[in-house]
Amino acid sequence: MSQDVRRELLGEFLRRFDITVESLTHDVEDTFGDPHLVIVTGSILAGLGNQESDVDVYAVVDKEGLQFIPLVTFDGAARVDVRYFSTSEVNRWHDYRSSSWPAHAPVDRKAWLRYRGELESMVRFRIAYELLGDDAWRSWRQAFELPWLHDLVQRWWRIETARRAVAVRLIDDGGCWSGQRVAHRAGEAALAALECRAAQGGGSIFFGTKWLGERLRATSDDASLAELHEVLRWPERDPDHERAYAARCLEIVASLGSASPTLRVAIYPAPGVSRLDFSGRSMIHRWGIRGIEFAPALDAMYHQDESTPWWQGQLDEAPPEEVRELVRHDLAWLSVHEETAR
Amino acid sequence: MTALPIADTRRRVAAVTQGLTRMLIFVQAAYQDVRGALHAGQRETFQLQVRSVIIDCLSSRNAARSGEVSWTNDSVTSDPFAGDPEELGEALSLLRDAALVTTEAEGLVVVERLGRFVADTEAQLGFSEPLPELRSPNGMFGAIKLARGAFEAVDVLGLPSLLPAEWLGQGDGETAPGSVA
Repeated sequence: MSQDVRRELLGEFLRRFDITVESLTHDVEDTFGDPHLVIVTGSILAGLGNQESDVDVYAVVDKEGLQFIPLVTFDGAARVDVRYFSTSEVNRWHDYRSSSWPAHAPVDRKAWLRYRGELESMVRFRIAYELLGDDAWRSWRQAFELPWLHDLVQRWWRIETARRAVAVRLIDDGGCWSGQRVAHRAGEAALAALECRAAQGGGSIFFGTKWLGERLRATSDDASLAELHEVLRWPERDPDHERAYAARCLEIVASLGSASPTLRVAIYPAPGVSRLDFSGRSMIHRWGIRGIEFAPALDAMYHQDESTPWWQGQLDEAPPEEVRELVRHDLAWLSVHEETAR
Repeated sequence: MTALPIADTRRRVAAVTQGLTRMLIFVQAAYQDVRGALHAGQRETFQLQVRSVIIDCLSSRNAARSGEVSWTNDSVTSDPFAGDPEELGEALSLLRDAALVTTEAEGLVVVERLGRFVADTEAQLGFSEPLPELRSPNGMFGAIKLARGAFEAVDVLGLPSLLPAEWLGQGDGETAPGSVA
Protein backbone atom coordinates (compact mmCIF):
# COMPACT_ATOMS: atom_id res chain seq x y z
CA MET A 1 0.00 0.00 0.00
CA SER A 2 1.54 3.31 -1.00
CA GLN A 3 2.02 6.35 1.22
CA ASP A 4 -0.61 8.14 -0.87
CA VAL A 5 -3.20 5.48 -0.05
CA ARG A 6 -2.27 5.53 3.63
CA ARG A 7 -2.49 9.33 3.55
CA GLU A 8 -6.03 9.04 2.24
CA LEU A 9 -6.98 6.50 4.92
CA LEU A 10 -5.52 8.80 7.55
CA GLY A 11 -7.34 11.71 5.95
CA GLU A 12 -10.71 10.04 6.50
CA PHE A 13 -9.89 9.69 10.21
CA LEU A 14 -8.73 13.29 10.45
CA ARG A 15 -11.82 14.63 8.69
CA ARG A 16 -14.09 12.66 11.00
CA PHE A 17 -12.61 14.47 13.99
CA ASP A 18 -11.79 17.75 12.24
CA ILE A 19 -8.11 17.61 13.12
CA THR A 20 -4.97 18.03 11.04
CA VAL A 21 -1.88 15.98 10.32
CA GLU A 22 0.17 18.68 12.01
CA SER A 23 -1.78 18.27 15.23
CA LEU A 24 -0.71 14.61 15.35
CA THR A 25 2.92 15.68 15.29
CA HIS A 26 2.21 18.17 18.07
CA ASP A 27 0.93 15.26 20.18
CA VAL A 28 4.52 14.04 20.37
CA GLU A 29 6.06 15.61 23.42
CA ASP A 30 9.57 16.98 23.34
CA THR A 31 10.21 15.69 26.85
CA PHE A 32 12.29 12.85 25.41
CA GLY A 33 14.14 15.05 22.93
CA ASP A 34 13.41 15.92 19.32
CA PRO A 35 12.16 12.80 17.54
CA HIS A 36 14.13 11.39 14.60
CA LEU A 37 11.10 9.72 13.08
CA VAL A 38 7.37 10.06 13.67
CA ILE A 39 4.84 7.80 12.01
CA VAL A 40 1.12 7.15 12.26
CA THR A 41 0.09 3.52 12.35
CA GLY A 42 -2.73 1.25 13.42
CA SER A 43 -5.69 -0.58 11.97
CA ILE A 44 -6.99 2.46 10.11
CA LEU A 45 -3.70 2.81 8.24
CA ALA A 46 -3.90 -0.90 7.44
CA GLY A 47 -7.31 -0.36 5.85
CA LEU A 48 -9.04 -2.41 8.56
CA GLY A 49 -10.34 -0.06 11.24
CA ASN A 50 -13.82 1.26 11.90
CA GLN A 51 -15.38 4.29 13.54
CA GLU A 52 -14.32 3.17 17.02
CA SER A 53 -10.69 2.76 15.97
CA ASP A 54 -8.01 5.17 17.01
CA VAL A 55 -4.56 5.82 15.58
CA ASP A 56 -1.14 5.23 17.07
CA VAL A 57 1.69 7.72 16.72
CA TYR A 58 5.15 6.20 17.09
CA ALA A 59 8.18 8.38 17.74
CA VAL A 60 11.84 7.36 17.70
CA VAL A 61 13.93 9.41 20.15
CA ASP A 62 17.42 9.30 21.64
CA LYS A 63 16.19 8.91 25.20
CA GLU A 64 17.22 5.59 26.73
CA GLY A 65 15.54 3.41 29.31
CA LEU A 66 12.01 4.21 28.25
CA GLN A 67 9.32 2.36 30.13
CA PHE A 68 6.46 1.49 27.86
CA ILE A 69 3.11 2.74 28.90
CA PRO A 70 0.91 3.98 26.07
CA LEU A 71 0.06 7.61 26.54
CA VAL A 72 -3.45 8.34 25.32
CA THR A 73 -3.95 11.85 24.14
CA PHE A 74 -7.08 13.43 22.81
CA ASP A 75 -7.13 15.66 19.80
CA GLY A 76 -10.64 16.91 20.23
CA ALA A 77 -12.64 13.68 20.31
CA ALA A 78 -9.97 11.68 18.49
CA ARG A 79 -8.03 9.19 20.59
CA VAL A 80 -4.35 9.04 19.76
CA ASP A 81 -1.95 6.60 21.43
CA VAL A 82 1.60 7.96 21.47
CA ARG A 83 4.45 5.53 21.97
CA TYR A 84 8.15 6.26 22.22
CA PHE A 85 11.06 4.08 21.13
CA SER A 86 14.75 4.66 21.74
CA THR A 87 17.13 4.75 18.78
CA SER A 88 19.36 2.09 20.31
CA GLU A 89 16.39 -0.23 20.66
CA VAL A 90 15.07 0.14 17.14
CA ASN A 91 18.51 0.01 15.52
CA ARG A 92 18.77 -3.59 16.76
CA TRP A 93 15.69 -4.63 14.81
CA HIS A 94 17.43 -4.89 11.44
CA ASP A 95 19.49 -7.71 12.96
CA TYR A 96 16.37 -9.84 12.62
CA ARG A 97 16.95 -9.88 8.85
CA SER A 98 19.65 -12.45 9.35
CA SER A 99 18.21 -14.30 12.29
CA SER A 100 15.64 -17.03 12.67
CA TRP A 101 12.89 -17.67 15.13
CA PRO A 102 12.82 -19.51 17.33
CA ALA A 103 16.39 -19.90 18.46
CA HIS A 104 18.17 -23.23 18.80
CA ALA A 105 17.59 -23.09 22.52
CA PRO A 106 14.58 -22.99 24.83
CA VAL A 107 12.72 -19.68 24.78
CA ASP A 108 11.63 -18.35 28.15
CA ARG A 109 8.69 -16.04 28.63
CA LYS A 110 10.82 -12.91 28.80
CA ALA A 111 12.44 -13.64 25.44
CA TRP A 112 9.12 -14.67 23.92
CA LEU A 113 7.42 -11.41 24.99
CA ARG A 114 10.35 -9.32 23.76
CA TYR A 115 10.36 -10.96 20.34
CA ARG A 116 6.62 -10.75 19.92
CA GLY A 117 6.62 -7.11 20.92
CA GLU A 118 9.43 -6.19 18.56
CA LEU A 119 7.89 -8.14 15.70
CA GLU A 120 4.60 -6.34 16.12
CA SER A 121 6.36 -3.00 16.37
CA MET A 122 8.30 -3.63 13.15
CA VAL A 123 5.04 -4.49 11.38
CA ARG A 124 3.49 -1.28 12.65
CA PHE A 125 6.43 0.76 11.44
CA ARG A 126 5.94 -0.91 8.06
CA ILE A 127 2.18 -0.30 7.89
CA ALA A 128 2.40 3.40 8.58
CA TYR A 129 2.29 6.92 7.22
CA GLU A 130 5.36 9.05 7.86
CA LEU A 131 4.84 12.40 9.54
CA LEU A 132 8.44 13.36 10.17
CA GLY A 133 11.86 11.94 9.40
CA ASP A 134 15.00 12.44 7.37
CA ASP A 135 16.23 10.26 4.51
CA ALA A 136 18.26 7.99 6.79
CA TRP A 137 15.31 7.18 9.02
CA ARG A 138 12.99 6.88 6.05
CA SER A 139 15.39 4.33 4.62
CA TRP A 140 15.52 2.55 7.99
CA ARG A 141 11.72 2.21 7.96
CA GLN A 142 11.52 1.11 4.34
CA ALA A 143 13.66 -1.93 5.13
CA PHE A 144 10.59 -3.37 6.84
CA GLU A 145 8.75 -3.41 3.54
CA LEU A 146 11.12 -6.06 2.18
CA PRO A 147 10.08 -9.75 2.21
CA TRP A 148 12.18 -10.72 5.23
CA LEU A 149 9.75 -9.19 7.71
CA HIS A 150 6.85 -10.90 6.03
CA ASP A 151 8.70 -14.22 6.32
CA LEU A 152 9.36 -13.63 10.02
CA VAL A 153 5.67 -13.02 10.71
CA GLN A 154 4.60 -16.09 8.81
CA ARG A 155 7.18 -18.11 10.70
CA TRP A 156 5.95 -16.61 14.00
CA TRP A 157 2.43 -17.85 13.37
CA ARG A 158 3.64 -21.27 12.24
CA ILE A 159 5.47 -21.70 15.53
CA GLU A 160 2.61 -20.23 17.53
CA THR A 161 0.24 -22.73 15.93
CA ALA A 162 2.51 -25.57 17.03
CA ARG A 163 2.78 -24.08 20.54
CA ARG A 164 -0.98 -23.80 20.98
CA ALA A 165 -1.57 -27.27 19.56
CA VAL A 166 0.89 -28.80 22.03
CA ALA A 167 -0.99 -27.09 24.84
CA VAL A 168 -4.29 -28.62 23.71
CA ARG A 169 -2.76 -32.07 23.79
CA LEU A 170 -1.30 -31.57 27.24
CA ILE A 171 -4.42 -30.15 28.90
CA ASP A 172 -6.70 -32.76 27.42
CA ASP A 173 -7.74 -35.34 29.95
CA GLY A 174 -6.74 -38.72 28.67
CA GLY A 175 -7.70 -38.24 25.05
CA CYS A 176 -11.28 -37.16 25.71
CA TRP A 177 -10.92 -33.94 23.70
CA SER A 178 -14.05 -32.59 25.36
CA GLY A 179 -14.70 -29.75 27.76
CA GLN A 180 -14.94 -26.04 27.15
CA ARG A 181 -11.31 -25.45 28.03
CA VAL A 182 -10.05 -27.89 25.39
CA ALA A 183 -12.48 -26.44 22.87
CA HIS A 184 -11.30 -22.93 23.61
CA ARG A 185 -7.64 -23.83 23.25
CA ALA A 186 -8.25 -25.84 20.09
CA GLY A 187 -10.00 -22.78 18.70
CA GLU A 188 -7.03 -20.60 19.59
CA ALA A 189 -4.72 -23.03 17.78
CA ALA A 190 -6.95 -22.90 14.71
CA LEU A 191 -6.91 -19.10 14.80
CA ALA A 192 -3.10 -19.18 14.79
CA ALA A 193 -3.17 -21.52 11.80
CA LEU A 194 -5.48 -19.13 9.97
CA GLU A 195 -3.15 -16.25 10.84
CA CYS A 196 -0.39 -18.24 9.18
CA ARG A 197 -2.57 -18.69 6.09
CA ALA A 198 -3.37 -14.96 6.03
CA ALA A 199 0.35 -14.18 5.91
CA GLN A 200 1.08 -16.71 3.17
CA GLY A 201 1.50 -15.56 -0.39
CA GLY A 202 2.22 -11.97 0.53
CA GLY A 203 -1.01 -11.43 2.45
CA SER A 204 -1.55 -9.06 5.32
CA ILE A 205 0.77 -9.37 8.31
CA PHE A 206 -0.92 -6.77 10.50
CA PHE A 207 -1.02 -8.08 14.07
CA GLY A 208 -4.40 -8.32 15.71
CA THR A 209 -6.42 -11.51 15.38
CA LYS A 210 -9.59 -9.45 15.73
CA TRP A 211 -8.96 -8.29 12.16
CA LEU A 212 -8.40 -11.77 10.76
CA GLY A 213 -11.74 -11.86 8.95
CA GLU A 214 -11.15 -8.53 7.25
CA ARG A 215 -7.63 -9.56 6.23
CA LEU A 216 -8.78 -12.85 4.73
CA ARG A 217 -11.58 -11.06 2.91
CA ALA A 218 -9.11 -8.52 1.48
CA THR A 219 -7.11 -11.33 -0.13
CA SER A 220 -10.27 -13.16 -1.28
CA ASP A 221 -9.28 -16.23 0.74
CA ASP A 222 -12.82 -17.58 0.89
CA ALA A 223 -11.75 -21.03 2.03
CA SER A 224 -9.92 -19.70 5.09
CA LEU A 225 -12.76 -17.29 5.79
CA ALA A 226 -15.20 -20.21 5.82
CA GLU A 227 -12.94 -22.03 8.25
CA LEU A 228 -12.79 -18.94 10.46
CA HIS A 229 -16.58 -18.98 10.58
CA GLU A 230 -16.45 -22.58 11.73
CA VAL A 231 -14.03 -21.69 14.52
CA LEU A 232 -16.28 -18.82 15.60
CA ARG A 233 -19.30 -21.11 16.03
CA TRP A 234 -18.79 -21.87 19.73
CA PRO A 235 -19.75 -25.43 20.74
CA GLU A 236 -22.58 -26.18 23.11
CA ARG A 237 -21.70 -27.38 26.58
CA ASP A 238 -21.95 -31.03 25.59
CA PRO A 239 -19.07 -33.51 25.27
CA ASP A 240 -19.99 -34.60 21.74
CA HIS A 241 -20.27 -31.01 20.46
CA GLU A 242 -17.09 -29.99 22.22
CA ARG A 243 -15.23 -33.00 20.86
CA ALA A 244 -16.43 -32.34 17.31
CA TYR A 245 -15.48 -28.67 17.57
CA ALA A 246 -12.00 -29.45 18.90
CA ALA A 247 -11.49 -32.07 16.22
CA ARG A 248 -12.46 -29.63 13.46
CA CYS A 249 -10.14 -26.96 14.87
CA LEU A 250 -7.27 -29.43 14.99
CA GLU A 251 -8.00 -30.40 11.38
CA ILE A 252 -7.52 -26.75 10.44
CA VAL A 253 -4.22 -26.82 12.32
CA ALA A 254 -3.18 -30.03 10.53
CA SER A 255 -3.93 -28.48 7.15
CA LEU A 256 -0.80 -26.34 7.54
CA GLY A 257 1.20 -29.52 7.27
CA SER A 258 3.23 -31.33 9.88
CA ALA A 259 5.37 -29.22 12.14
CA SER A 260 9.09 -29.55 11.58
CA PRO A 261 10.53 -32.61 13.33
CA THR A 262 13.31 -30.40 14.66
CA LEU A 263 10.93 -28.39 16.87
CA ARG A 264 10.91 -28.93 20.60
CA VAL A 265 8.62 -27.83 23.42
CA ALA A 266 9.99 -26.38 26.65
CA ILE A 267 7.85 -26.19 29.80
CA TYR A 268 8.71 -23.57 32.40
CA PRO A 269 7.32 -22.51 35.76
CA ALA A 270 4.46 -20.07 35.17
CA PRO A 271 4.74 -16.49 36.44
CA GLY A 272 4.40 -16.36 40.20
CA VAL A 273 5.30 -20.00 40.80
CA SER A 274 7.07 -20.93 44.03
CA ARG A 275 7.88 -24.22 45.69
CA LEU A 276 7.41 -25.27 49.30
CA ASP A 277 8.68 -28.50 50.85
CA PHE A 278 7.48 -29.68 54.24
CA SER A 279 6.15 -32.77 56.01
CA GLY A 280 7.19 -35.09 53.22
CA ARG A 281 5.41 -33.21 50.46
CA SER A 282 6.05 -30.50 47.88
CA MET A 283 3.72 -27.69 46.94
CA ILE A 284 4.04 -25.89 43.66
CA HIS A 285 1.86 -22.82 43.87
CA ARG A 286 1.24 -19.49 42.20
CA TRP A 287 1.27 -16.36 44.34
CA GLY A 288 0.65 -18.40 47.48
CA ILE A 289 -2.97 -18.80 46.39
CA ARG A 290 -3.45 -21.99 44.38
CA GLY A 291 -1.33 -24.92 43.35
CA ILE A 292 -0.72 -28.64 43.61
CA GLU A 293 0.51 -30.65 46.56
CA PHE A 294 2.70 -33.57 45.53
CA ALA A 295 3.48 -36.51 47.77
CA PRO A 296 6.08 -37.75 48.15
CA ALA A 297 8.20 -34.61 47.75
CA LEU A 298 9.29 -33.72 44.23
CA ASP A 299 12.66 -34.08 42.64
CA ALA A 300 14.87 -30.99 42.73
CA MET A 301 14.27 -30.42 38.98
CA TYR A 302 10.94 -28.78 39.86
CA HIS A 303 12.39 -25.42 40.72
CA GLN A 304 10.78 -21.97 40.69
CA ASP A 305 13.12 -20.24 38.24
CA GLU A 306 11.00 -18.90 35.36
CA SER A 307 14.04 -18.67 33.08
CA THR A 308 14.89 -22.38 33.19
CA PRO A 309 12.58 -25.08 31.83
CA TRP A 310 11.40 -27.96 33.94
CA TRP A 311 11.35 -30.17 30.90
CA GLN A 312 11.83 -30.09 27.16
CA GLY A 313 11.03 -32.67 24.52
CA GLN A 314 9.56 -33.34 21.11
CA LEU A 315 6.20 -31.85 20.25
CA ASP A 316 4.35 -35.15 20.50
CA GLU A 317 6.37 -36.52 23.40
CA ALA A 318 4.70 -37.30 26.72
CA PRO A 319 6.33 -35.31 29.54
CA PRO A 320 6.67 -36.75 33.05
CA GLU A 321 3.31 -37.02 34.79
CA GLU A 322 4.25 -34.29 37.26
CA VAL A 323 4.90 -31.88 34.39
CA ARG A 324 1.61 -32.79 32.81
CA GLU A 325 -0.22 -32.11 36.07
CA LEU A 326 1.51 -28.75 36.36
CA VAL A 327 0.42 -27.85 32.83
CA ARG A 328 -3.14 -29.06 33.40
CA HIS A 329 -3.44 -26.93 36.51
CA ASP A 330 -2.06 -23.84 34.79
CA LEU A 331 1.10 -23.73 36.82
CA ALA A 332 3.34 -23.90 33.76
CA TRP A 333 4.25 -21.78 30.76
CA LEU A 334 5.35 -23.32 27.50
CA SER A 335 7.16 -22.36 24.35
CA VAL A 336 8.46 -24.01 21.19
CA HIS A 337 12.02 -23.78 19.87
CA GLU A 338 14.36 -25.41 17.38
CA GLU A 339 16.30 -28.32 18.77
CA THR A 340 19.55 -27.30 20.36
CA ALA A 341 22.40 -27.20 17.88
CA ARG A 342 24.83 -30.03 18.42
CA MET B 1 -21.75 0.75 53.79
CA THR B 2 -21.04 -2.89 52.84
CA ALA B 3 -19.23 -5.50 54.92
CA LEU B 4 -18.04 -8.49 52.92
CA PRO B 5 -16.51 -11.41 54.86
CA ILE B 6 -13.29 -12.56 53.22
CA ALA B 7 -12.06 -16.13 53.48
CA ASP B 8 -8.90 -15.58 51.47
CA THR B 9 -7.37 -12.11 51.62
CA ARG B 10 -4.63 -12.79 49.06
CA ARG B 11 -7.13 -14.10 46.54
CA ARG B 12 -9.54 -11.22 47.04
CA VAL B 13 -6.85 -8.54 46.67
CA ALA B 14 -5.38 -10.25 43.59
CA ALA B 15 -8.77 -10.79 41.97
CA VAL B 16 -9.86 -7.18 42.51
CA THR B 17 -6.60 -5.58 41.39
CA GLN B 18 -6.08 -7.86 38.40
CA GLY B 19 -9.73 -7.55 37.53
CA LEU B 20 -9.57 -3.76 37.65
CA THR B 21 -6.67 -3.71 35.23
CA ARG B 22 -8.25 -6.27 32.99
CA MET B 23 -11.55 -4.47 32.77
CA LEU B 24 -10.06 -1.03 32.23
CA ILE B 25 -7.34 -1.90 29.74
CA PHE B 26 -8.64 -4.89 27.80
CA VAL B 27 -12.37 -5.42 28.28
CA GLN B 28 -13.31 -1.81 27.66
CA ALA B 29 -11.25 -1.72 24.46
CA ALA B 30 -12.69 -5.01 23.23
CA TYR B 31 -16.23 -3.87 24.02
CA GLN B 32 -15.64 -0.70 21.99
CA ASP B 33 -14.39 -2.95 19.18
CA VAL B 34 -17.62 -4.96 19.40
CA ARG B 35 -19.71 -1.82 18.89
CA GLY B 36 -17.49 -0.45 16.14
CA ALA B 37 -17.37 -3.73 14.25
CA LEU B 38 -21.14 -4.19 14.43
CA HIS B 39 -21.74 -0.72 13.03
CA ALA B 40 -19.18 -1.30 10.26
CA GLY B 41 -20.55 -4.72 9.33
CA GLN B 42 -17.27 -6.41 10.31
CA ARG B 43 -18.83 -9.70 11.26
CA GLU B 44 -15.77 -11.67 12.28
CA THR B 45 -14.26 -8.78 14.26
CA PHE B 46 -17.57 -8.49 16.10
CA GLN B 47 -17.54 -12.17 17.03
CA LEU B 48 -13.86 -12.29 17.93
CA GLN B 49 -14.16 -9.32 20.25
CA VAL B 50 -17.33 -10.68 21.90
CA ARG B 51 -15.21 -13.76 22.53
CA SER B 52 -12.41 -11.64 23.97
CA VAL B 53 -14.75 -9.81 26.35
CA ILE B 54 -16.37 -13.04 27.53
CA ILE B 55 -13.07 -14.83 28.14
CA ASP B 56 -11.68 -11.92 30.14
CA CYS B 57 -14.86 -11.55 32.20
CA LEU B 58 -15.00 -15.28 32.94
CA SER B 59 -11.35 -15.23 33.97
CA SER B 60 -12.02 -12.29 36.26
CA ARG B 61 -14.98 -13.99 37.90
CA ASN B 62 -13.08 -17.24 38.22
CA ALA B 63 -10.14 -15.49 39.84
CA ALA B 64 -12.40 -14.41 42.69
CA ARG B 65 -13.45 -17.99 43.38
CA SER B 66 -10.98 -20.78 42.70
CA GLY B 67 -9.17 -20.05 39.45
CA GLU B 68 -5.86 -18.47 38.62
CA VAL B 69 -5.72 -14.85 39.74
CA SER B 70 -3.34 -13.66 37.03
CA TRP B 71 -3.85 -14.40 33.40
CA THR B 72 -2.12 -13.11 30.35
CA ASN B 73 -2.49 -13.15 26.61
CA ASP B 74 0.66 -15.26 26.31
CA SER B 75 -0.61 -18.21 28.32
CA VAL B 76 -1.83 -21.20 26.32
CA THR B 77 -3.04 -23.18 29.33
CA SER B 78 -5.21 -20.80 31.35
CA ASP B 79 -8.73 -21.99 32.08
CA PRO B 80 -11.42 -19.33 32.20
CA PHE B 81 -14.20 -21.90 32.27
CA ALA B 82 -13.78 -23.44 35.70
CA GLY B 83 -16.66 -21.32 36.99
CA ASP B 84 -20.22 -21.33 38.16
CA PRO B 85 -22.46 -23.22 35.72
CA GLU B 86 -25.20 -20.62 35.86
CA GLU B 87 -23.10 -17.72 34.61
CA LEU B 88 -21.23 -20.01 32.26
CA GLY B 89 -24.54 -20.63 30.57
CA GLU B 90 -25.06 -16.95 29.76
CA ALA B 91 -21.43 -16.62 28.64
CA LEU B 92 -21.63 -19.54 26.24
CA SER B 93 -25.03 -18.42 25.02
CA LEU B 94 -23.54 -15.00 24.16
CA LEU B 95 -20.66 -16.63 22.31
CA ARG B 96 -23.01 -18.77 20.23
CA ASP B 97 -25.52 -16.00 19.62
CA ALA B 98 -22.78 -13.64 18.44
CA ALA B 99 -22.00 -16.12 15.67
CA LEU B 100 -25.65 -16.11 14.56
CA VAL B 101 -26.00 -12.34 14.18
CA THR B 102 -26.93 -11.32 10.65
CA THR B 103 -28.33 -7.80 11.17
CA GLU B 104 -27.30 -4.77 13.16
CA ALA B 105 -30.51 -5.02 15.18
CA GLU B 106 -29.69 -8.58 16.23
CA GLY B 107 -26.17 -7.47 17.02
CA LEU B 108 -27.41 -4.68 19.27
CA VAL B 109 -29.25 -7.23 21.36
CA VAL B 110 -26.00 -9.14 21.84
CA VAL B 111 -24.15 -5.90 22.62
CA GLU B 112 -26.69 -5.02 25.30
CA ARG B 113 -26.46 -8.47 26.89
CA LEU B 114 -22.69 -8.29 26.73
CA GLY B 115 -22.76 -4.91 28.43
CA ARG B 116 -24.79 -6.39 31.29
CA PHE B 117 -22.34 -9.29 31.57
CA VAL B 118 -19.49 -6.82 31.84
CA ALA B 119 -21.35 -4.71 34.40
CA ASP B 120 -22.12 -7.80 36.48
CA THR B 121 -18.45 -8.75 36.37
CA GLU B 122 -17.46 -5.32 37.63
CA ALA B 123 -20.04 -5.59 40.40
CA GLN B 124 -18.56 -8.92 41.49
CA LEU B 125 -15.25 -7.13 41.94
CA GLY B 126 -16.99 -4.91 44.47
CA PHE B 127 -17.27 -1.77 42.35
CA SER B 128 -20.65 -0.28 43.13
CA GLU B 129 -20.53 2.14 40.20
CA PRO B 130 -19.52 1.56 36.59
CA LEU B 131 -15.79 1.84 36.05
CA PRO B 132 -14.52 5.03 34.38
CA GLU B 133 -13.95 4.75 30.66
CA LEU B 134 -10.17 4.63 30.55
CA ARG B 135 -9.90 5.80 26.97
CA SER B 136 -11.79 9.04 27.55
CA PRO B 137 -10.45 12.49 28.41
CA ASN B 138 -11.06 12.03 32.17
CA GLY B 139 -10.71 8.27 32.22
CA MET B 140 -7.10 8.09 33.37
CA PHE B 141 -7.86 10.38 36.30
CA GLY B 142 -10.73 8.14 37.38
CA ALA B 143 -8.62 5.02 36.96
CA ILE B 144 -5.79 6.42 39.05
CA LYS B 145 -8.28 7.28 41.77
CA LEU B 146 -9.65 3.73 41.75
CA ALA B 147 -6.19 2.21 41.81
CA ARG B 148 -5.19 4.26 44.84
CA GLY B 149 -3.46 1.96 47.29
CA ALA B 150 -3.68 -1.03 44.96
CA PHE B 151 -0.02 -0.98 43.92
CA GLU B 152 1.04 -0.89 47.54
CA ALA B 153 -1.40 -3.67 48.44
CA VAL B 154 -0.03 -6.06 45.81
CA ASP B 155 3.54 -5.18 46.77
CA VAL B 156 2.93 -5.88 50.43
CA LEU B 157 1.30 -9.22 49.69
CA GLY B 158 3.67 -10.26 46.88
CA LEU B 159 0.90 -10.51 44.32
CA PRO B 160 1.05 -9.99 40.54
CA SER B 161 1.48 -6.42 39.36
CA LEU B 162 -1.51 -4.45 38.19
CA LEU B 163 0.23 -3.51 34.97
CA PRO B 164 0.57 -5.93 32.04
CA ALA B 165 4.00 -7.56 31.60
CA GLU B 166 4.45 -5.77 28.27
CA TRP B 167 4.35 -2.45 30.13
CA LEU B 168 6.84 -3.44 32.80
CA GLY B 169 9.85 -4.07 30.61
CA GLN B 170 9.55 -7.78 31.24
CA GLY B 171 10.49 -8.25 27.60
CA ASP B 172 14.13 -7.46 28.19
CA GLY B 173 14.30 -6.18 31.73
CA GLU B 174 15.44 -2.70 30.69
CA THR B 175 13.57 -0.94 27.97
CA ALA B 176 10.19 -2.20 26.93
CA PRO B 177 9.29 -2.66 23.28
CA GLY B 178 6.72 -0.06 22.44
CA SER B 179 3.83 -2.31 21.68
CA VAL B 180 1.20 -4.34 23.35
CA ALA B 181 -0.86 -7.20 22.00
